[in-house]
Parts: sequence; C-alpha cells; structure tokens
Amino acid sequence: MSVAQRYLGSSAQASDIVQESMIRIFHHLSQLEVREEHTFKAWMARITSREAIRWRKKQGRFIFQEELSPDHFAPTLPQDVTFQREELQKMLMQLPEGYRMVFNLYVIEEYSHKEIAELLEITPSASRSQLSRARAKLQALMAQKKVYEKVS
Amino acid sequence: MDQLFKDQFQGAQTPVDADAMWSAVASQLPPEESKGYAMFSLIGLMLSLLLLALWFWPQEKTETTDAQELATTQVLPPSLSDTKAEAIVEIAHTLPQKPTPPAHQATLPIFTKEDLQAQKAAWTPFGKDEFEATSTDEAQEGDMGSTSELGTVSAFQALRRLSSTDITPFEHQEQSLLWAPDPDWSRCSDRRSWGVGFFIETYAFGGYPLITNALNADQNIDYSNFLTLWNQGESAVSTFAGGFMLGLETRGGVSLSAGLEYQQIQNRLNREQTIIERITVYDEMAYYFLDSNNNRVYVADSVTTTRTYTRSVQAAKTHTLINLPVLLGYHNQVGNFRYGIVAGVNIHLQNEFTGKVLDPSGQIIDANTGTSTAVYRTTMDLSFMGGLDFGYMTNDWLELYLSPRFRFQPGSWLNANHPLESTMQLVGLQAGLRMHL
Repeated sequence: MSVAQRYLGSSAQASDIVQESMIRIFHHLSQLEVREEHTFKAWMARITSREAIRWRKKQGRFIFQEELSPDHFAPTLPQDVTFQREELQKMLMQLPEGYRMVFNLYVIEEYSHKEIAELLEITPSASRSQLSRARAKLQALMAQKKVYEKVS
Repeated sequence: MDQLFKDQFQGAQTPVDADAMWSAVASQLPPEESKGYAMFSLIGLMLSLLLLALWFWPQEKTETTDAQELATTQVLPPSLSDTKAEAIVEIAHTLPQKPTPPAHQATLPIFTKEDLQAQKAAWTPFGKDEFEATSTDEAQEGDMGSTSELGTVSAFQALRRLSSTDITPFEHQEQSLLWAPDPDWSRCSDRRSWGVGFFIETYAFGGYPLITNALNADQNIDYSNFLTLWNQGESAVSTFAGGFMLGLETRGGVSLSAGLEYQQIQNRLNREQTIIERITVYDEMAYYFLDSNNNRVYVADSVTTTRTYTRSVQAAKTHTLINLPVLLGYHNQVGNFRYGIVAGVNIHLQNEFTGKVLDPSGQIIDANTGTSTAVYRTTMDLSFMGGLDFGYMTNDWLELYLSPRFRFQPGSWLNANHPLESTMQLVGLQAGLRMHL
C-alpha cells in the first residue's frame, strides 16, 4: 500500500492498485523462486510500482514538465535535519507527476535511467533531467519546511 | 537526501484491511487447475504403448547345438493308440481347437521288443497281408490301453488304408486348412500373428504460423482507446519441430502412436511509436535583439523545445515447446507406395518464451517465462493436428514419407487478462522415416 501511495497519493486509487497487484502476484506466484522474505517483498513492491505506472498510463499520456523555476537552484540542506515519513510523503505528492514517477523509480525502487526510460517511454536523458529537477524541488520544499518551523 | 527518502520508504508498510482486500482478490482469482490427472493419464498411455511395443517385439529364435537340443528335448515314444484313421479327417475341421489328451496318456505304454518288431512288419508294404481290415472300427476295437499286438497292428493297418484311398493331394485340400490362423493354444513364437505390428518413427516439421487477433470478449474494452494503444502487430516468421513416435499398427492399416517433440515458433513484434519529448538544449542563437543599427544580435542560452519523432520497433519472440503428440492413423499400401491420413492431439507439456512483447497496456517489455510481466500463457494444454501421409517403402521395413500437416490451437496464447485473444495456427510439411518392425 505504501508503494502505491507513493506513486498515486490517493488512498482509494492506491487500494485499487494494491488489489490489482495482488491478483497479478497470485497469477505469477508459481513462477517465483523465493528463498528469503525480503526478496519476496521486493518482488511485490516491484509489481505494485509497475501496476501503478500501468494504471496511470491508462489514464492518459504522462506530462513531463520541464519548468525552469527558482526551485532548480534550491539550497543545500543542512546535515542534521530530520523528517517524518508522512512529511516526506506530502512533499512527494507536491511534485509534478513526472518528477514523482522518476524520483520514486530511481531513488527508492533503484531502477536505472535506462530501465526508467523503457518503462515510461522517455529517453534516459529525460529521466536524468526529471530526476535532477525532482531533487531540486524536494530540496526546496524541505528547506521551506525547516524555515517555517524555525520561524513559528 | 536520496538516502533519507530511501530509509523512510524502502520496506515501509501501511496498514490495510487484509480481510476486505483478500475477499476482493479471492473473487477475481481463477479456480485452481488440476493437471495431475491429465499428466498421470499421459504417463500411463506412454507406459502402455512401451509395454505393448516390447510385447510385440519380434523374438528371434536362438540357435542351439545338437548337444543342447538333445539335452533339452524330451523324446516321447509315439502313442499308437492316438493314431486313428478318422483322426485325420477330424483335424481338418477341428484344427483350431486344442485336442484333449487321452485319459490314459499318463500311463503311456512301454514298447517291448515285440512291439517294435510288429511296427516294422506293419510298415513293410507287402509283408503282412493278413493284417488288412475292412474298417477302422476294427482298430478301435483293440485294447488301446495296452501293448497288445492287435491294437498296434490295427492302427497301422488303418494308416495303410488311408494312404491308398483317403488322403487327397495337398493342393486339393480345403482352403480353410491352408489358411487357418494359428489356434489360440499355439505356441508359435511369432506373436505378430495377432495382426498387430510395431513401428518407430522420427520426423522433422517445418512450417508457417498463422496469427489471428481479436478483442478479448471477456473484458470491457473501449475500441478507440484500444486502437491508440495497439497500433502495432505481431507477424509470423517460422516454426519447426522434430521428434519421434512409437506406435502400433494393425494389418488393416489402422495405427495408434505417441511420442515426444521439440518445437519452436518464431514471431516478430512490429510497432511504430510516436514520442513527444521536451528537451533543453544549449543554442548559440537562442534569441536576438536589435542593436542601434537595427541589426540582429544573437545571444546564446538554454532553450526548451519539443521534439517529436517516431521510432519503429521490431523485435523477435521465440516460443519453445515440449510436446507429446498422440496420433491415430489409417494407411493403405499399393506396391511400394503408402498413403494415409493421420489426426490427433498435441499435448503441450511446456511452453517457454523469450523476447520482446507488448503488455496489456501496450508497452514493449521483456517477456521471458517466469517474469511477473509475462504476457503469454505458459500452460497451452493441447492443440489438434492432422494431415495426409505419402510414403515409399524402400524395403520391407523402412518407409520414407512426406506429410502436409495442419496444427490447430483453439485457445488464446495470451493471458486471460489481456485485451486481445490471439490464436496461432501452423501449416507446414513434415518429413520422416518410419521403421515397421
């Protein structure tokens, strides 16, 4: 569920995706050779993320924004800052969809740019570009959050 | 920052209502298929054919030396009491029936010197005219259970009478006697006299797959949306197979055979993709302004632009199957030429595939057997096959044949949740060697 929420945000959509993923998992369970639990979890997470992307594609073509905003030059975060998962989740949801997809796939799912390019039908350079912008935007959001906390 | 997100989200769990989730998932899972029964039936069929083949395998007689033959041959003295004149007549009519041994056979008479002399005298053509009798009944009147001279002589007398009057030339005997089948009690070692033979066949098949695609009727698919996702196709390339068969055939030409086969089907995926990409490029002439002399002055800068291009994708996909063909046939032979018809089922024990395919959402993916994104069914169950056979017997046992064949797969090769139903029919030519044993 957490994987689906990272991609889609909405709890109702995420629930549908988890349900579809479970059906897909059961269909292909016999083809899986799992010796350790964490391998199985990773496999499930991978299926869920692909299912989320597939579902999103069915809704229409992705829009990969190439906005050049001041966020691109976001400040570097101090090392001692900490964030809760819920806070990070909210920040992810504030990202444009293309940024979020690429960031999730690259940073958390550990796909390569080549794999992301095939999955999202973009070029590897576009994937790199989206990732760097996502990082910049997140850094900006995190910095804003900390500044706001200090002020208040 | 990457590490922060990774730590927070990798392996993170969100509680869900497991019961509600399971009830929704369980209702959409297909019922479990039981393939055990079919598999055991197939193994049983193969074993039965193998045992029958061994049973009908021609047994060669081993040559024995005279010494061995003497040692193993039990010589029984002839029982004159069994030799009756009318017995020959009866044989012609009762040949297929096992004769009942006489009750007194357990106590066969021991021939004395006098008996042997009497036999010798009986075989002398003109030596013992006084032994002539008018009917065979006289011979039976003798004491058959003893070694009396009367019994012995009467029997030979009857034989002599038959030799001159009753025995007809061989060529005039009844056809039923000449062509009578081996009786049930026959100990003849050639068991093929039952009328069933055994053959082994090895073959190669080459052909062309015919692919038919249709919308999956079980899924609610918007056709216009489908067309935008599926502006591509899968074209057939080739198929080939090779294997062997073991079979039984009757004298009437009917045959049943089963074997094992390796098969490959190769297709090609074609797709044209339209890709719209927004890119940022560095341009020496990004923009310009007009100077005081009204001349253009270009300024270099990064420019965001949209690039649209199409790419054509062609990728190979290969199915590798292990099959168990079971065929029923009927053949006729004219001279050295044989012709016939065969039909049966091809049971697919295994179907594995490699290559690029399109997943249900229209994405080009690697679809290897065992991945979660597999598009094609690995369980193909069975297909039907048939064809005509044209063979030539090079000698008594070896046949070369050519056979146009058709293989029909009724079910879709794609998974049930796929928006398409894709069926594949194969047409081709089979060539092989058939050894009739």
